[in-house]
Amino acid sequence: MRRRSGLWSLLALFVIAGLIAAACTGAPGTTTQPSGAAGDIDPNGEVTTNAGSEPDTIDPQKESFVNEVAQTMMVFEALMAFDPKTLKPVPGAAKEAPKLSSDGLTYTYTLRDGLKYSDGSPVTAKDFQFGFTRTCDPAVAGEYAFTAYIIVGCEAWNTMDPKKATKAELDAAKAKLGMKVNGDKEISFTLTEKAPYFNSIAALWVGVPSRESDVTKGGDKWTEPATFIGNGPFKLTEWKHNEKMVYERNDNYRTKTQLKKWTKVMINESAVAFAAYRNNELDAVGIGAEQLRTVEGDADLKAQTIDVGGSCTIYVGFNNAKAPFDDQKVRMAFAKSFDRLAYINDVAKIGKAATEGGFIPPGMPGYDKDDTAQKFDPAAAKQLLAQSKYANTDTLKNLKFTYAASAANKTRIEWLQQQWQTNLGVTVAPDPVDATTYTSLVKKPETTPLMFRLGWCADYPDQQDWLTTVFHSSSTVTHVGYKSATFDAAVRKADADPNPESRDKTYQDASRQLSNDAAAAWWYYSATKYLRKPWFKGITDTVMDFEYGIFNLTAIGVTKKK
Amino acid sequence: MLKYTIRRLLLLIPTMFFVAVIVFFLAHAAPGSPFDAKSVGDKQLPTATIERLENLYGVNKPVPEQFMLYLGNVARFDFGNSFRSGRAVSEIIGEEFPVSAQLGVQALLLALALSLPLGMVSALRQNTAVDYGSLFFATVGTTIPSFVIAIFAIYFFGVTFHLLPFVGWSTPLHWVLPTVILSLGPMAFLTRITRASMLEAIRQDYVRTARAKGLREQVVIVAHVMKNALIPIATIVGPATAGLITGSIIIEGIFSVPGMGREFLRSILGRDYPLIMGVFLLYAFLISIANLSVDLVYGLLDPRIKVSK
Repeated sequence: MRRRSGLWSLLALFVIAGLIAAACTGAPGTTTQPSGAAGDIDPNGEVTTNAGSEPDTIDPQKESFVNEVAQTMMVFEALMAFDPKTLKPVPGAAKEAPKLSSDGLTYTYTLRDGLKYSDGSPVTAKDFQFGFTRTCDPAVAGEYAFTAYIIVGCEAWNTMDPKKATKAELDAAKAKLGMKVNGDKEISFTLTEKAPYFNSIAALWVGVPSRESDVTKGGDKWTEPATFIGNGPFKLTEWKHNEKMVYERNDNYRTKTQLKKWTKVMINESAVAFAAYRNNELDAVGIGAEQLRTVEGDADLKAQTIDVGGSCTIYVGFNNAKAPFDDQKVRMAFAKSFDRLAYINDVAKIGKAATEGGFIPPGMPGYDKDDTAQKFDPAAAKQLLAQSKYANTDTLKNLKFTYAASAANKTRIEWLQQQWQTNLGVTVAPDPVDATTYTSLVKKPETTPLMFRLGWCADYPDQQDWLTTVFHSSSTVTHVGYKSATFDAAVRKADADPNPESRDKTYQDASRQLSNDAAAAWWYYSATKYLRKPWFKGITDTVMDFEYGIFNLTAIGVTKKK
Repeated sequence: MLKYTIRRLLLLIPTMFFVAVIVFFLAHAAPGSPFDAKSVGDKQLPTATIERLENLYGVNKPVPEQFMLYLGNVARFDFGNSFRSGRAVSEIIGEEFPVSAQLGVQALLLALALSLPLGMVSALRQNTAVDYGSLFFATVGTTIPSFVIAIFAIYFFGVTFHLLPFVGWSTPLHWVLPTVILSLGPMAFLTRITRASMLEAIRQDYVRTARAKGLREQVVIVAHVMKNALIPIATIVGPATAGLITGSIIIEGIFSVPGMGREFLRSILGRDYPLIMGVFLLYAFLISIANLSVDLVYGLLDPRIKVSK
């Protein structure tokens, strides 16, 4: 008896003690409101952000994803970099813009003086050569190797099967790479064709100077802090897998960062990350549509909201090779009959409707505000459908829309279904499949679904990476099966054009053709909203950002938090 | 008993083999490859790249051939490397399993420490306020999903009152919320089981006999009722232990605990075959060991259950 009642009073005591403790510490906690007063930048500032999930790899020559590149580019610097305002390539580790050979095929870069790795040893042209060579190496099997195929010999070597080819064959292919080092400072690349966009490729992570001695020493684990030694603004000092990565200032970088430390924690749940931000455990956090109402209802949070455009265009893919979408009129009718603005306002909440502009999103070189070919116009759409060769046939009934099953996608596709039903009078049947199955379906022309949702995000800010890479008939990322000889000829001409004005013009015409042909229906451009504490300063947001202020890391700092 | 244990341990080999066969073929039966899975999202890798990677890692070979290769490697205790991260499966599990195990053991101990007394008390004082209170707790604990409680706990203890941290696993203070919330489900469940089996045991003839012999009430309860009531509890606790120590997808996800629970889901969605195999073989092994322990404990609790045949 006694024991029992003892147990209960113990429990009660526990609860009461908890409440009291809560009450006591509650008061100061709720008033942790930053003063936000403009102060000097703290020379030993620290920030914490959320990396979301653990990056699969941070090996610059293997990786391809935003959350992976976001780690590499803290630690490494490529030959070129992107200007945070214009997104045009500017010198990074290179002293100046490269010298071009008279035939326009060879690019020669000279390194800045006194470049050092974070351990103090010098960076040489050989290190850059090693980085690019690794990118082309078939044994490394990098996911972004294709970006370097423009270098002579890279594609031939990279597409060899390292298990079948003999060592002699592989070495012979490697020896043919169009790369030459001259002394410690000079590296030149010979390209397969004229490619004015090569400077942008030279700014990518695939060409950063991974150091041969580190890769050899660390083997599969060279990306751990001990051997992940770079030439960039920060160094990786700690990586607790699935928990956090810690970056500290690299004192050997030519411009010292104002931040002493940048910790990236890995919180998967957006609600938890949001709570951590409000708790001052994070200095910035991305917000999802589900947090928007909370943010908008709170004056402080609202003032801390940053809107940034994104680097992706999301489109409705039509299988151009299959009836009824082999008829341009049908494609255009579908493209003109859903209200993109309503979608952003009513459903997505975040993002920018593709009401103006074609395939290339705003903020990106080549964005064309005046391309309104696919403007929402139900009357015109109905007329187009009536004129199409499939008008009043069964082919237009119950068209399957395949998508990667998720709650978000279900809402999206059902919204589209509704739009086409109302505005065009056609029935579309949503067809959910699991995400990996979806990818395997859309990658092959034989299995490409009739209609699907897909997107493209820039690898580098250049029209070539949009128009040629995605919609040229030889592209391996084309999922809609668009084939047009005029379009192909135009983009290939622009790819090689050294004159920026005529190049832009040719791309613009090609891009308009794409919209007029309704190869796909541009739906919306990605965008991000994030919250940033008032003391987190010096960030230039760009549409290409894979990390806060990544193109100008040394400018970032924090004012004293109190 | 020893012979029985050895025999059961030997039986583990064919069990594990069949688990391996089933999981391997099921995993490969799902459409897509690990490199398709890497492409999930708005942006996809070029088809040529995906195909080259598939060829290089041998995932385009016939599945039986891949399975034989896998078995050969496992026989040499090589569980392969994750396709996604390239890290060794043994290393990933070696890092994550201890975290999940610690969280699971803490939660289990907490659950047992509170549920056994609570269940017993409510059985002994059936239909009193204590009993109703414990029933209420048990019903609430089983019906409200842990993620709901977790989010409330984060807002209450973390954001509003700044009492406890809720991101990560770095200090003992970080352990509190995930442990307590993970224990609530099993705690509620065990309370009900304990109460039910105590009630059943109390009504048995041998209890009446014990009382008729004039034994003291404490002796009757402890030696006759409790010991017999423990059998159904042991049946539940065994597999529950295996489930708890291999990690909870939800709790680890919410509290950013770097454990193995999240790996279950992630490896399947990512078609990361070596990791799927590693995670599931470990799980199967632990379940088998837990069941064996339960069978052995039966013998101790009730001599009528003979384990040695």
